[in-house]
Amino acid sequence: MAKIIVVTSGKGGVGKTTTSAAIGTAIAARGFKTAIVDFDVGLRNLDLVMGCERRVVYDLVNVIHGEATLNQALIKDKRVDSLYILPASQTRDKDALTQKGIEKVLKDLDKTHKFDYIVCDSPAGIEKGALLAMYFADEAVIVTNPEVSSVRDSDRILGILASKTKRAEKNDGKIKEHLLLTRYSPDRVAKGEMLSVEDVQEILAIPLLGVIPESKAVLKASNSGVPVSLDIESDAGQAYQDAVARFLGEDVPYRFITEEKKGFFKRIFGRKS
Amino acid sequence: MISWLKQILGIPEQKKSAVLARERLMVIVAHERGEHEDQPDFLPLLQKELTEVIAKYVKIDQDQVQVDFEQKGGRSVLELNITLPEHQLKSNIQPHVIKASPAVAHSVPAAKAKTKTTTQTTQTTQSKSGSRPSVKKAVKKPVKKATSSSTASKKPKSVEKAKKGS
Repeated sequence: MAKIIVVTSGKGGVGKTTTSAAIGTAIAARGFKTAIVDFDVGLRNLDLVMGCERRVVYDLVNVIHGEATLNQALIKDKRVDSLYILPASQTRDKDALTQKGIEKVLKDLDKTHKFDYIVCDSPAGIEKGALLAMYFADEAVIVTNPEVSSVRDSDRILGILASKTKRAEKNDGKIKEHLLLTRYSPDRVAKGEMLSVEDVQEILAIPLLGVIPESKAVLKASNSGVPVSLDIESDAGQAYQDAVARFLGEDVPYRFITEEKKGFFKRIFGRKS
Repeated sequence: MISWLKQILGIPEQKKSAVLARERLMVIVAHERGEHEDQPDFLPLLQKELTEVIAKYVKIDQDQVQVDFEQKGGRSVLELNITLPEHQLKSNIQPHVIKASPAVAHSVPAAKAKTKTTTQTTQTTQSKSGSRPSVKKAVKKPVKKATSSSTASKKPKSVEKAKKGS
């Protein structure tokens, strides 16, 4: 049975799409048949981040309305064998997504197409799209920046996950929650300018899946349409790979959460006041 | 450099902004969790009626009676917080109380002794399981502080609650 993962955050711009692309790709690269589904109807961007924007013909809404089959809409990734992308529609129709429609698509992905993992890239906010993206989830990755508004919104989303999802309504066990802290700057944390991993964890009180450092590699990856987890030379790429390893049950030590040691000369001359 | 100078001169350094962020978040998150969780909906009405009853005997404002609902593990705690201002205790309470009942009058001297008395009653009730984990101890602290020491900051909430009930 396919495992449905929602990548959500409440707040926009914290890295949901980057994370969906990176995590989905890394899971698929380990041999699991994985689909990444863009739920951001009207503002689709997963296709751009994944570098398949020119191959979009049909989308999620077409499938729901019966205008295309799932086979026609799924875009097979050219880099990773078992990876597929299901783009969102650019329609401005707010009611394009329905719960029944989503349920059928997810069931088809599971039963007919035998996917192992379905990653749902949630839109920002707590409107219909975001609620539908999380409704059928088994696990949730809460993407959070070490910043007050993001942490507050994440807490809000945790409350919604615990009350407005299928598992909550059917009393079918809790959705497994994972905290993914992104855009983390260990040096700023050391200076007391940024909330630390411990601070955020203490406030949100959910298990930590990973910490992605603020990194040039993330923008570089989206510029070129390559999921950052494939850039294994980069710190962010490695951090995403670590997070996925943890997600799949491996015990991996946390990296990039403490300030990197500066050399003698850097310490003397490179000090910023 | 400037921070060294400040240290030498004994000027207290400003709190690190991350510490501020943490403190503010803990307060607001704990507060909002209480609101959004399945709080019993009788709370606003309970607060309104309690205020009315107490107002019969003591002149108080609506925001001086606070009813809070917390969840700790499998139990729910209903916290009642009433602040009695000193001048009103001295001037108004005595005649009313005597009129009302001798039992209440009995408690007045004790209340009078302190400048500002806070009566706190807690009552536990069972709650359904499977709700969100309660806020950690550390998170709760600042909130308690807020309820007991700064009634002013809580004003809008209390007023709103009372309105909802009416």
